[in-house]
Amino acid sequence: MRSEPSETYQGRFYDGESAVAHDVVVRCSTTVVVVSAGSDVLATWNYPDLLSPDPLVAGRRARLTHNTAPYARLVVEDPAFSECILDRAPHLSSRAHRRRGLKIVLACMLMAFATVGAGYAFLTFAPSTFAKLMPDSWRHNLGEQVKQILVRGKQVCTDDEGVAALAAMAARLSEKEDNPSQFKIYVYDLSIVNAFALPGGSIVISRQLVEAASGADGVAGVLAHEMGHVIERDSEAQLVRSLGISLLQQVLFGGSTIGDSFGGIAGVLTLMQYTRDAERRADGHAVRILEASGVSPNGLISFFEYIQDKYGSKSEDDEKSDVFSLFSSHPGVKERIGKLKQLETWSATPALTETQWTALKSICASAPDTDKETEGGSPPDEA
Amino acid sequence: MVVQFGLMACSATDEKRGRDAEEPRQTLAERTVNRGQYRERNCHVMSATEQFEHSPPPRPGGQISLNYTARPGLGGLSIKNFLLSVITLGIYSFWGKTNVRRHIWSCVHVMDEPLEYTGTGKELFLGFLIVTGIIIVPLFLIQALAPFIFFENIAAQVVAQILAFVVVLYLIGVGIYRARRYRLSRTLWRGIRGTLTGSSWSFAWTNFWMTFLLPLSFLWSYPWMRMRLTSRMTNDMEFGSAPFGFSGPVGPLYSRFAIIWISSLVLMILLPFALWISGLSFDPKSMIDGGDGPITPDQTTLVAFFIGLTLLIIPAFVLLFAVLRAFYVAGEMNHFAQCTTFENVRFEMRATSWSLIGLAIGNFLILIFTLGIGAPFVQQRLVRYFCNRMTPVGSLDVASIQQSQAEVDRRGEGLAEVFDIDAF
Repeated sequence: MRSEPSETYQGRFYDGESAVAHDVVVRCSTTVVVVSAGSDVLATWNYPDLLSPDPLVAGRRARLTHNTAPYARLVVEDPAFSECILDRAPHLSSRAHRRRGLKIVLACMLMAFATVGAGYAFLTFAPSTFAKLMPDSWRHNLGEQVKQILVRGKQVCTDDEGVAALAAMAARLSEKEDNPSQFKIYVYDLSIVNAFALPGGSIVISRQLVEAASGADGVAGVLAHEMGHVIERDSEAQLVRSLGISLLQQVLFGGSTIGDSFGGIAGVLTLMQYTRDAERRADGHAVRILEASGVSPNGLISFFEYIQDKYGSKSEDDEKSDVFSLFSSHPGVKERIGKLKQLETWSATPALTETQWTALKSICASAPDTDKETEGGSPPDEA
Repeated sequence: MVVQFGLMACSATDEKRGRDAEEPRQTLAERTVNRGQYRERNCHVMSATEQFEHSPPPRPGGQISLNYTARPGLGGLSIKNFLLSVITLGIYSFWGKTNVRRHIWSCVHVMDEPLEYTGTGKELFLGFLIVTGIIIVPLFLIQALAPFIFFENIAAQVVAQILAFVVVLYLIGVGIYRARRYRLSRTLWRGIRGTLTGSSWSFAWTNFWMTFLLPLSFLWSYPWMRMRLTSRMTNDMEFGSAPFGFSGPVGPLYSRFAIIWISSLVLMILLPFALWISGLSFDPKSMIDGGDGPITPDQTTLVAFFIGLTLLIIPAFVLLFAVLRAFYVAGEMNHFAQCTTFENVRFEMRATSWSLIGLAIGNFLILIFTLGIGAPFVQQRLVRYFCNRMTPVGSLDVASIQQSQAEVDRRGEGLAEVFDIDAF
């Protein structure tokens, strides 16, 4: 129903001061909207400051307010009125509303990018800084806690001669290092082939890893690698990082279900990326330590080859990410064997004597034999 | 200019709006006469030429009415919000939430005049950022760092955790109150906004110690706590210059509460029995690994236990508990409505256990089958349920209601947001 184009319209006006509805005559002049009841002018609104809570659609009811009176409401049912207003205040149209909506979306995307970028940068650079600043007592406490979770209920191996052999190996490897006393090495019966560097300098080697190694040089190679992690404070950094990721997730996504899955994926990807870098550094340390202590890298090579034979490509593809198993996302075994084989050889003697090696292999002799059968289950996290 | 058209005044619920354009124009006089004269669900055609010839009759205190008139567009809004939230890593959700509120608010009509939500996404976003920065991050750090700062010192760790818990519990009360205050201050009707006049800290304190009383009283303080808190909140509520009132006895809540308390106790005693029986009646062998290989008796019991648990017993008991809860909530809603007044208006609520259960099941199914994308429909169903079953009785002298003089929060709901206090 289009009425004759008219300058005045009937409307309903709430002044924002009281709940009374005023029946008003509204004039849509060229520069202002004049709202009057009888001889009283209730409002004179210029067009640029006019606001519409909902987009103004030509031919629909108009509901307007104004910057100078944000609680006042003018409602005009006459469809011609909205057209008159739209001509003079195009910023109220649906198109203008959509444009503002798009700006909001773009701003949100920008903020999302910025957050992710800042988070990424923070997670890249901050954890190792924090890790190195961390007081020794914190590192020690952290390490004890992680160890308790890791070896939950498992036995530490305490055969005297084996412990002595392990100590001898550790002493030989760490002799030329800055702070040899920081390395505290344990063998646990963990039912997986793995070794872990823990915050505070503890290193846990599984009995199964000792058994899987073809000789003392293999164990020494793994130990040297873990020492590299300790020197780099990698496990401390890893924990700081995972703390940061969960904080970021909490802040960014809160309790929303959409966010949880996204945050989860992002978190795991970040963790894997970082550990790979750390692994390469730790390998570098391992080579340096082996060379300095005159231990051949061949033991480590044959240990890797054993792993590769036994678990094939799995150890390269199935890279599970786990905060505590720092061995889990090493660079592919093949790549590492290649790198080790390219090394120039140095004069080397066996890491342990035959007697010591035999003693090390039976370091768990006094511990009860639990769960020796590990094949067929999930592949070990590799070493 | 007199327009001589009839007027369809139809306020049946769920009427599809959006055809305002096709509706004949109505004159002011028609509106005046129409307002308040025809109650809900009546459609009248009337002509109004005569009335307009005279000056509009003085508006009496109009009969108050409340209804929800659904509008199309909520589905599109839901999908849009979901997609934009995904691509902005959730940041858009504050604006999305605001748009949903605008939609739902505008469907609620009081005396045929819609409510308007005037909050913005920016306000919610800033509120969230500030609370995150000054509360969540420090709390998170305290909780995360305590274990290895006070490693050996278990007592210190426990103190740190209890402190964090106490702070959160206290802040939840603050969050509930402030969220309500924000929403009221962003709810406009006839150009007038609502407010809460009390202190959120003092409300939170009441909420805090009453929460501690719950376990001490074996939950028997619950109806009393609800009554006290609702009374506190409602008596603090104002619309414009006009206060809401809330007063009444707590007694009526206790009859229903006693029934559900005792029934719940019986159910909890029955639950282990039911699980035990289900554990005996299942044959798990056929359900693992095609029945090959030996299964130890330990495993058998365990598997049977869990199968029985998940398939049968637990959902049945959850449903029973839900029925009991609905029984209490229905009684509570009706009683609270009776206790509430606004000027000369009192309220009648017709909530029933079965309709509440239907509402909850429907909402559950919507969330499950739309993977949460349909959450705005859940909100709409809640508000609509409330509007459809709530009848304000009496007449309201709108002329006496002036604008609220209370200060308006500049940011909104940060606490409620981070503690996930409610769905809105």
